[in-house]
Amino acid sequence: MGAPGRLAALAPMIGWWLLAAGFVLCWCLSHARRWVPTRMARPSDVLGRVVSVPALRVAVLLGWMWVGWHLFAR
Amino acid sequence: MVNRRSRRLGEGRSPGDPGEAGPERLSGVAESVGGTGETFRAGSPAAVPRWRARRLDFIVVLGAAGYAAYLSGTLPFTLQADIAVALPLALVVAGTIAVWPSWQGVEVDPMTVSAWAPWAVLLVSTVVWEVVNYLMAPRSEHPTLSSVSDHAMSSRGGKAVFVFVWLIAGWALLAGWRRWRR
Repeated sequence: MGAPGRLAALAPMIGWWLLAAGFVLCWCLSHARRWVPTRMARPSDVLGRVVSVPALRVAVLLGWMWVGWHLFAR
Repeated sequence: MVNRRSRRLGEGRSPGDPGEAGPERLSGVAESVGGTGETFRAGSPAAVPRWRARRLDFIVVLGAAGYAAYLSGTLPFTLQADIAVALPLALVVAGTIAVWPSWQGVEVDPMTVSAWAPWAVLLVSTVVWEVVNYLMAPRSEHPTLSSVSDHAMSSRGGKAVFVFVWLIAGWALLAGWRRWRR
């Protein structure tokens, strides 16, 4: 397998790592607003906005419940 | 300018903050910054002293760590694991029901698209990437979030970290709802 083939095989995992890096970068930027000129909201700000809608509040709660049940129980 | 922006995004305005501004002042900032007509949340009227909230958070973190250590030792698809997972589920659901009435007429911060768009892009990208990998095979070459987390939780320590994060997320939902309500 040549280099392009190896790269293609690694692409899915590279994608996950890039997404993880994106989340970390956004988190850092949102917490560095005093020093970095950014308007990025913190995750808690976004979540607060989302759960202010009753239907979305229920959806977030159900999602949290499903994650725990799926990962740790069944 | 920085102060205006940080207020707009909700920074440093947990109930009981010494520098927390009142509703009239915050509304004034909203008009001067964006003129969106939306009202800032004013925090809980019965503000909890910050040290007391911190102490509660500290106790919860310690409890979550201990519970994560216990739950990480259970085996999935057993009654013990079912009960261990069901307990925090029941607590958070009960807490949600308890605080639900206080959400009547809740008001939230105005937020620009540029403030939340990066998070939306990341979430949508994650969902798309999950679906793409899910539809492709073999799983070893196209891991999904489930298979990645299974691998990460193959050790008890790894599983304990996952359980801890999940428990803290549940607490954040409850605590956030308690703080965000008016």
